[in-house]
Amino acid sequence: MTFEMIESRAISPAGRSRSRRGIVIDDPDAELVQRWQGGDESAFAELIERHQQRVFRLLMRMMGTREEAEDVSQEAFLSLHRHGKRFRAESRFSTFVYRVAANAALNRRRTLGRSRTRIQRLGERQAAGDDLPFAPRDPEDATAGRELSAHVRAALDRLSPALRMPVILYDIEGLPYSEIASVMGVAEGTVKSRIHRARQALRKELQSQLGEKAEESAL
Amino acid sequence: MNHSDVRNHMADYLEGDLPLGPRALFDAHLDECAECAAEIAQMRLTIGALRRLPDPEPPPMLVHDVMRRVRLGEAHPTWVDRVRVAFDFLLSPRILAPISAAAIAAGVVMGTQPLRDFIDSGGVLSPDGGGASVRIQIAGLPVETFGQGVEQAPRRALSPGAKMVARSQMFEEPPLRTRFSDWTSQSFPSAGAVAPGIAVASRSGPMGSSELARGGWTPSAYLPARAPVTKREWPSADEWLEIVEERPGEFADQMAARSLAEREHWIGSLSRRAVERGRLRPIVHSLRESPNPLAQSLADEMVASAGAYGGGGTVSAANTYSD
Repeated sequence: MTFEMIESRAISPAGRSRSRRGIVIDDPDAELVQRWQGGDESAFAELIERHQQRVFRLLMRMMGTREEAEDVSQEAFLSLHRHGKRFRAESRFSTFVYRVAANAALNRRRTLGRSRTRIQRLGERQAAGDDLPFAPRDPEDATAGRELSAHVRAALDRLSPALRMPVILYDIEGLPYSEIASVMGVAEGTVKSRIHRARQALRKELQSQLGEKAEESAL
Repeated sequence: MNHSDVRNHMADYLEGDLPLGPRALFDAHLDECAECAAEIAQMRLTIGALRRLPDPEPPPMLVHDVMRRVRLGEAHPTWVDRVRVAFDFLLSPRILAPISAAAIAAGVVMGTQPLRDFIDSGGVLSPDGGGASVRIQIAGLPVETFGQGVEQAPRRALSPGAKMVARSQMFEEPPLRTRFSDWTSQSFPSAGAVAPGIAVASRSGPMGSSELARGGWTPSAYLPARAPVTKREWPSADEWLEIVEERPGEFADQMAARSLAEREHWIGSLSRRAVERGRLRPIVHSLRESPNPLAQSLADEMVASAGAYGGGGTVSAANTYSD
């Protein structure tokens, strides 16, 4: 899977831009992007500050371990610095950031794919729930929630990147189909069908855990 | 609506995108079909579990770390950097270890064949010593199995009592500081000699002053211990401190060509030595005074690194270091 990374329109001084299809895009990052493209590096630092949370969240779920996610986050922002000056506001800057982060994740996954033992080690750590610290909202449900979350993360990691990316962006990050299509460079229909296939695969992986949950909720 | 229709419309149903008519038919099927109803219930639980995954917090120093790497020029690697990364991959143990193993195996096979021939011939030495000297080449390291050094008597007749002697063991005197390992094993513990007389060059080691001047470093895998190379070719750690203090810009230029890991290694080692010698303050001051922006960044890194060696100080508002 390859994602196109080059945008092709300029940002207007007012922070609104017109895409190739004539749609005016309100981008909250437009001013900062303009300052950065004008040579102000502090604006880039502000952009990282603004987007680090969502980039890290996406990469954490794509990579599976905090260690990898931290490495790839840095690589993603360096890549953004490298390619970002070519951003021409055909989409929101946040979409562009997701796209760069997604490329960084896929590149790292390919590298990891060459080392089977490493993948196995990651899988074991995920299954043990070692890598992803989280705080259940309901303390009484802590143990069950922790266990299910660990299973969900492990199941997510077993999905192919082509299925994992859209389901993370849709169900966890809450992006609309159109934005996911833009991030991944595929049609909206493809996004929709991949999300459904990913959910089905997850359901099958989690069947035993979900069965218990379903019985509990039925009682 | 049958099972197949339900499967085809399940995504729209779950998203609430199914029009009212088909939705009613879908619900009617679920009332009658326990299998489809269970599948829908499990899909809802799966989606719920995904949406309840906790949000991880990004590392607190992410912005700082990225901006530091941007300042160091890592966002825009040159083609030299790319080539270096490729070479690093080729020199990684994953690639190098099998090649070395194959080379050793090939060397042993080729080297032992003349020995077998010699034994098969009854072990009788001819007066001119033909076949008496067996030479095994292991990963570039010449090893003599019979007689003396190869360069002195390559095909010399042997006495019956001749022993198998590895060339690397022939140098009884302590080796001179002629190799990267000699220097780095004292000041940069990550590199070192693997055996007496066998040096392993480390890219983490410091450059010679001549190489510093020409801005490059050529790895030398093996230098014979008796080679006429003087100690002066490799500056000591203290000499490096002088270089950093007197020519911070030049030092920064050299660091710019290094990878982040190498830079951290250098800064850590030099900081430790500067703390030991009580020279951290003037060195940091000199780096800060340099017009080279990377030198100023290296000053910050030295201050941060010095903290680990008991030289922790503070950076004042006037941007100067104080103990």
